[in-house]
Amino acid sequence: MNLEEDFPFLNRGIVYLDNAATTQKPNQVIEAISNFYRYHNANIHRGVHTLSIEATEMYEKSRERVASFIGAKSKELIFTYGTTSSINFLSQSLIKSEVLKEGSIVLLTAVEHHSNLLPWQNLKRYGVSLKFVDSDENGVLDEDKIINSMENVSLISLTGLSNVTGQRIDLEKVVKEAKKRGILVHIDGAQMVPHVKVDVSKLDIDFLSFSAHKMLGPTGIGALYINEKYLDAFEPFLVGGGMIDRVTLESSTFTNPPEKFEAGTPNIAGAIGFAAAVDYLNSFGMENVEKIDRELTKYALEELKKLDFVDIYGPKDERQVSIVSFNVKGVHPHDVASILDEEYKVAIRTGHHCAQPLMRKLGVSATCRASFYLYNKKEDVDRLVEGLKRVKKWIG
Amino acid sequence: MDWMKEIYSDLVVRYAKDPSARKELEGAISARDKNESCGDEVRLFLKVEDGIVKDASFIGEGCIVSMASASMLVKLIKDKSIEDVKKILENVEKMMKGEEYDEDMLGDLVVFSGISGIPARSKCFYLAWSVLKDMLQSVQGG
Repeated sequence: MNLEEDFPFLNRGIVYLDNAATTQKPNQVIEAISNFYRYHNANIHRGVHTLSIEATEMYEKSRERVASFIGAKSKELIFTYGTTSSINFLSQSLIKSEVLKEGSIVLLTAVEHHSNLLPWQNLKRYGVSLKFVDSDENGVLDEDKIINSMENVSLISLTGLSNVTGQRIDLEKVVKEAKKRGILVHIDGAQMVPHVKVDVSKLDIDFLSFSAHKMLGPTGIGALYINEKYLDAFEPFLVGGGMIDRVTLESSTFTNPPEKFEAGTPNIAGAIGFAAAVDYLNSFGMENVEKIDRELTKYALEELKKLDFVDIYGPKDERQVSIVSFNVKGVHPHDVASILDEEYKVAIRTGHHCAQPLMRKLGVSATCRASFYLYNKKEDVDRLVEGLKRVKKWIG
Repeated sequence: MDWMKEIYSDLVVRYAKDPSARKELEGAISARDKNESCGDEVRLFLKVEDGIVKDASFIGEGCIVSMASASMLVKLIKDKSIEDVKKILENVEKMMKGEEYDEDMLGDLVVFSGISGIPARSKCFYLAWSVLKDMLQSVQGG
């Protein structure tokens, strides 16, 4: 494994610190996708010809690899279009299956990404009510506060790692208490699954959503893990081709999970790319990914704390993984990002990060966010810091 | 790219940080607009008497581009007739679209002549001007 060879963008001299938005893709992923389209392209299922049989096998093998990456069984892993669609599918299915109904309470936190907020807001029309656990003024969540808010709750939907503050939530603690009370748990794993090893069989959660593109894979594909005990009872999200057993003009019966949940021709090449991405992460070692992310975050926090003109948000300690949000005092984040990009070739993200309620809590309209992944180095942080000093001097 | 140097030139930074145009005007008409994606916000105050902009000011929060543009706007339209202000606005819009415009009408604002090539920042640039456009329509309507 050679990072410079695997990630050709590294030779462009760009310091890419926008990994929480999307990561770069290694050649292995790009090759897997183009190899499928070049030599094995066909629609999956029911085909009796060679190409279709190959495509079906490649798709199902991809499912196995992505499922095993999170410690799930194949049938528990449903391919979706990404985290947003996973959570939309899940919330709608919980209503259709009457797991959530009028009077049910869903517990969320005030730091959630809009994609783990709006799908639940959508359920209010069915009489479901939402309850929120607030963060402190730095955007930090207290697990005990979550536990103390569990009374009468039917389902908790919680980020595993905040996309703004980088806070890694102590899920073991929260899930244990939720299970004692018979509460269902969904984890928004969009930021967690790419950076820390997740094993759903040990974590004992019911549902998990995540996206391929934030973990070296292609855009347009993600996954929803549904614990097998719910698979049969749950209504499909979409209906149509590819998910049926017997269809008459008046009614239909559905096939078994996971196909039951994947109506229409799926993103076959995307699934293959997704599996190539988890293969890459497995060979790199998730423990090494986490180690790099933690070291870089720690180093960035140390260096940014030295700059008295920078405000940092979040826990600012070892709970923070892969993400650092900050502002340069008196300078708008857009100006910070423009100068970093133009003068230092450093790519960061600015804005509300799809978390407007959290921005209001922090008392800002936007922040700068640097986020790391396995190809980043300490020198990248140094260049960021150097750039910030220049920003301060120039327009601060 | 040179546009960065121009956008973050001393002139622009000076305008963005100039406090003289930044105040509320009592007895003036006012309107605001916000760029939801980045939180930039401008409220513009106009005192129009006999078809002349007697006074103008703004309050707001935002990036260098949006603040400097608002600050320049205030300077450009003061003591001008509504008709002239409309002409200025037309030329600003032409500049933003990359079309030919009358440089003499825009004063220091021509520092943003390259804005048409930077779609990511043209929204910031235009924020105060969009408020002005709305206000002109209401001035006319009234």
